[in-house]
Amino acid sequence: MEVSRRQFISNGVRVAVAGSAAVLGTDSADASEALPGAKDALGMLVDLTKCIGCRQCEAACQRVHGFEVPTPAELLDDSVFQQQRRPDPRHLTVVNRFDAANGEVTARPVYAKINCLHCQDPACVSACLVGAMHQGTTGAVLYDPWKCMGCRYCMVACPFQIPVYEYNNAFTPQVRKCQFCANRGNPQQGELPACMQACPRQCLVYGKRQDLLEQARQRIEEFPDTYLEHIYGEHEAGGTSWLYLSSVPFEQLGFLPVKSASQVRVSETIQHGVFKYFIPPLAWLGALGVAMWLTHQNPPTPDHLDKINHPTNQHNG
Amino acid sequence: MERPWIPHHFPVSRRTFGWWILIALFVQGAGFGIYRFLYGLQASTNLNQQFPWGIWIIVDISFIALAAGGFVTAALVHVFHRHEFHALVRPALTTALLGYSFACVALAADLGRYYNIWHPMLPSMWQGNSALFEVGMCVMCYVTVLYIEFLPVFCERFLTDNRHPRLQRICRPLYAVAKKVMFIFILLGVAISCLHQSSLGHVMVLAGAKLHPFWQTPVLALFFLISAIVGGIPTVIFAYLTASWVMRVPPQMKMVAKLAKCIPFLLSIYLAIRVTDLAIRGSYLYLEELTWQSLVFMIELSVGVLLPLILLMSARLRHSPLGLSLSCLLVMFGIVLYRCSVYWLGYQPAFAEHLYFPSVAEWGLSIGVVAALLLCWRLLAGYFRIIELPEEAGTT
Repeated sequence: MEVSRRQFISNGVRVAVAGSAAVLGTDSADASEALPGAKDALGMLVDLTKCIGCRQCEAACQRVHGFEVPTPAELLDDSVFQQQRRPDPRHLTVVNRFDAANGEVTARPVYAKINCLHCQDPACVSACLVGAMHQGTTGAVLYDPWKCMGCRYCMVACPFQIPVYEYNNAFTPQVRKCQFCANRGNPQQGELPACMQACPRQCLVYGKRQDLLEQARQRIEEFPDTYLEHIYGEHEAGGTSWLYLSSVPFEQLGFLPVKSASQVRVSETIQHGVFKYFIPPLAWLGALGVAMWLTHQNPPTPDHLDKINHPTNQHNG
Repeated sequence: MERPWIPHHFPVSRRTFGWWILIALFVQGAGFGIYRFLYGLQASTNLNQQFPWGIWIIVDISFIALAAGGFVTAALVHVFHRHEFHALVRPALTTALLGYSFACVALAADLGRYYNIWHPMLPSMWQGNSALFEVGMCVMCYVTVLYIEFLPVFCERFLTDNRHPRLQRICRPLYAVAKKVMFIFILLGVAISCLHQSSLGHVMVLAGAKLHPFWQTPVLALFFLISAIVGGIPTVIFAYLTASWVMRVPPQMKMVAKLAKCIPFLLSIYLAIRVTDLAIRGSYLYLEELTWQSLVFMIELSVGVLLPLILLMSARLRHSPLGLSLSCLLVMFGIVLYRCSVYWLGYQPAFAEHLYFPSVAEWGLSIGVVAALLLCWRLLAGYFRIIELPEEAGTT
């Protein structure tokens, strides 16, 4: 069972209504209560200050996807950190190293794990014309290769530049991205994301997004010197299931400064406005019909049609 | 002077140098097409994880604007009954028909899983939130409508041709029915292609900040619709003049010049809303620094819009076949550049190492598709009544 798109949107509308009602003081409805989808959404809290760059999460991810698994020696080799890597079709999550913060070399490097953030209002899902990209009950953004046409609109739409394509596959290429291990089994029945299970430092905390947000705020409050007052993913692109805490500004760690409103709202509002109950297109068709009827005035039959209808009459016109 | 129209007035057997060049271009394109389907997108294109859309998509979207001439002339002649432009309807219809058909070929080459291209037809997979879904549905409907609109042209060819009695027997009733119901399809065609052109623009709204502020605007859909109308008319005129020149039929300059009179008017509306949009969103600030995006933007608006706008205000130029052709070409250049900017030149994704530039195979296949389109145009013009002979034009 999946949250249907319509239900998801109507939830969003309900939140908006509840939110504005709260502002107006007419209704004390709790916004979070009105959004069961968001309340049930499972998320991951990533504490970048704890990460030591061991890349065990990468190895675990490779293993569960059947990709080439780095050997222990390869994991110890830190030459991979010499360049900033991005996820690719055979590495759905990668860890990058940053030696400097605010222009100064830090005592300890900062590591940042990159993968799909699982937006709550995902642009790739809105983009996909056949529903190959869709959202599961837990808020994870999933992909059905058998539905996919390979148009790659999801890659154009993603504000985090995450989905990647198997260009080298000539016949059955897939869009690749982290699926929150939801493709492995039911996360609600104890099947946990591989990267989270592999992390020896417990940088990754898995749980309900609501609880994780609370936890993140608590940590910031408790250790204001360690953490920035910014939970990346709380608002970015309408909120993401993955949340990040850091001591270094996120822009310096390869995180894109994404607007807090999802572009999906802009796009879908216009699209559904133009197609509201299919009235505008039909009205346009009707208007054209009326124009056709009004300007109608027994058009002169072109010569050649006369000739075809009366082949013998060569001297007409 | 009276000379009845004969089907083989423009015999396809008249092989010229240009014909062989087109054949050669088509053959190399077909070669690259086979290469793409055998070895995949990595081997044949310069696409990468940052630039998922390349020239095959860009050609589709840019040249579809030119195929818009089909619906614009259909609307002009059949909806608003301006029958003086009747001679343009069939060349425009043929251009639209072939333009859309070959755009589908280029699209199939671009799709990673081209064999799933029919999936949007399955209601179980419909995803009405997607702008691309709207594009897909509109293309399918409009291509169907275009083929129906071409039906009378096809039937006409066999009505009086006694060499194909069986075809004649099918075509006669078909022609009679088609003539009766055609107005429905003409209306549908105009309405659908308006939706289609606008949805092409709306696709890029979802790209958000990845599209440069010069071009990213919530009203992209409106701009694409207007650019299609603005670009459609010059394309029809250009195609008509070129076809007349190639087939050595004197063009009806008076009629074309009359139609061309509306181009400066349309261009000034187009320019005005483009500039207004720029002013409202404040993105003119980006014009202060000289980046190549600002350069492209300035070239597009000056050479592609302002220059033909001024040129076409001259009546003398509108009556000269060469002058009119060249000015129309400028408008077409401006519209194609605008659409290229939205889908390619203005697209600036994060983490891109360099701007995407098409590979040899991508150029090759694209050129091959255009060559195939021109070859088919010539073939259709040889078999069917698409170009009117000057004697037949005396109805207005």
